[in-house]
Amino acid sequence: MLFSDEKVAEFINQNFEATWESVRPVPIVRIDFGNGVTVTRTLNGNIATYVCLADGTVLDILPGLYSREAYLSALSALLQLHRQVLRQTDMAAFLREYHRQAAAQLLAAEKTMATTADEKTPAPTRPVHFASAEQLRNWQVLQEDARANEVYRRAQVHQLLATTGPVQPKQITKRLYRDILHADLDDPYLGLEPIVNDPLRNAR
Amino acid sequence: MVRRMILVILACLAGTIVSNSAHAPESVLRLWLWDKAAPYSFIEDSQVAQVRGSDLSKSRLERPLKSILITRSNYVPRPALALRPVLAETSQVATQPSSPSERQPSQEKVSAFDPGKRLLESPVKAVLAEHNERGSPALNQNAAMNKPQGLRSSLPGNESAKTTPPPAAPTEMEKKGDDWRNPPVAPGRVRWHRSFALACQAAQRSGKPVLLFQLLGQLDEEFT
Repeated sequence: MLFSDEKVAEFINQNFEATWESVRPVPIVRIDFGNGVTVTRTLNGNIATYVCLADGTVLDILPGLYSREAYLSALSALLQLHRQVLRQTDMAAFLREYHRQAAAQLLAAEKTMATTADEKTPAPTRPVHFASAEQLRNWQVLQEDARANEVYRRAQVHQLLATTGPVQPKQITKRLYRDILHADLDDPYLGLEPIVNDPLRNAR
Repeated sequence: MVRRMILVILACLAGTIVSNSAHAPESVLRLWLWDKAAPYSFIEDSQVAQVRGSDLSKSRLERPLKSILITRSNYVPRPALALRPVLAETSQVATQPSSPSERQPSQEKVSAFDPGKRLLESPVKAVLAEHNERGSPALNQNAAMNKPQGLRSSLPGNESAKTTPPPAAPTEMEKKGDDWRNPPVAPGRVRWHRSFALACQAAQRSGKPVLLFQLLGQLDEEFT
């Protein structure tokens, strides 16, 4: 949906060489109600946006789903980072320092967000319907999740890249999905095996 | 003397009737003779022996008695040309349950008083045997109904089993379950390079950074 947005697509096409890849098939749940009604949903999954140099070195990662404005804002900041990195003689040291400072700033913002956690919108208990994509973008739950990605998970990404140094995407993909996005790519059940295979286990 | 002669004749006559149907023992004949002759004289064992020994006209007496019995039982001897109706009856009996309770009274009467039963049975059995070898639809249909489903087609002459329609085609829902594919969709309005390597090559030429979007599933499918 994000890449169908004209503004987002235009910004990406003008400023990036874009590509996408699948890290694994997505688990899909199909419920056949037996009366001709079938509901199909994805069960678990997550996304990540890498911004890399031309040699494939990872500059930064945007973990998870972002709102359109947050996504454009983050991509704009990474464009500036790209320009700064190209001017550096010690690119690796610059990137480590960048990620260390960014992690510290976000951890400070995380503490501020934690104090207002009680004001967080509760998860919906009934199905939510949207008449348009604009309504979905402005959905408060989605925006809060995007903010959590920008703060909590982004801070973890910075910590990860500060310790690893310059890396290629394939070198940190599994760690990113397992430790930050909570989708272990090596687990055939993506961590859902206790729920899928034995739903009554927790009730015993 | 005349009375004895009459008694002997009556005894022979009665013995023939009884023995013809049920092979009455000698004691029955003795009682019958005593009942008839008691008012006149005591019947000795020798007289009984004389009656049985003098039964030379048995064959001559049986014929009229048989005709009397056949007339009373309303039995009409079937001519040789009446084989077809008998064959039809026999076939019907063979294909139906033959427990005594289910037999019709007319069938009991025919079998009890049918003097030519053996005569009829042999050709009927032969005809039935030949009929079964060629495959009687009625008989084989009954046999097929008692066989397991998988054996029906092996029965000879069972054309209905060979032309049995195949199992019903899977429903639309079953087709969806078996052949369901993630519906393809357009991957947004972004111009995507085919791979990360190609995007890096393009970035070296353009000076732009590379944007790599990772996901579970395929971006060009509906459910990702």
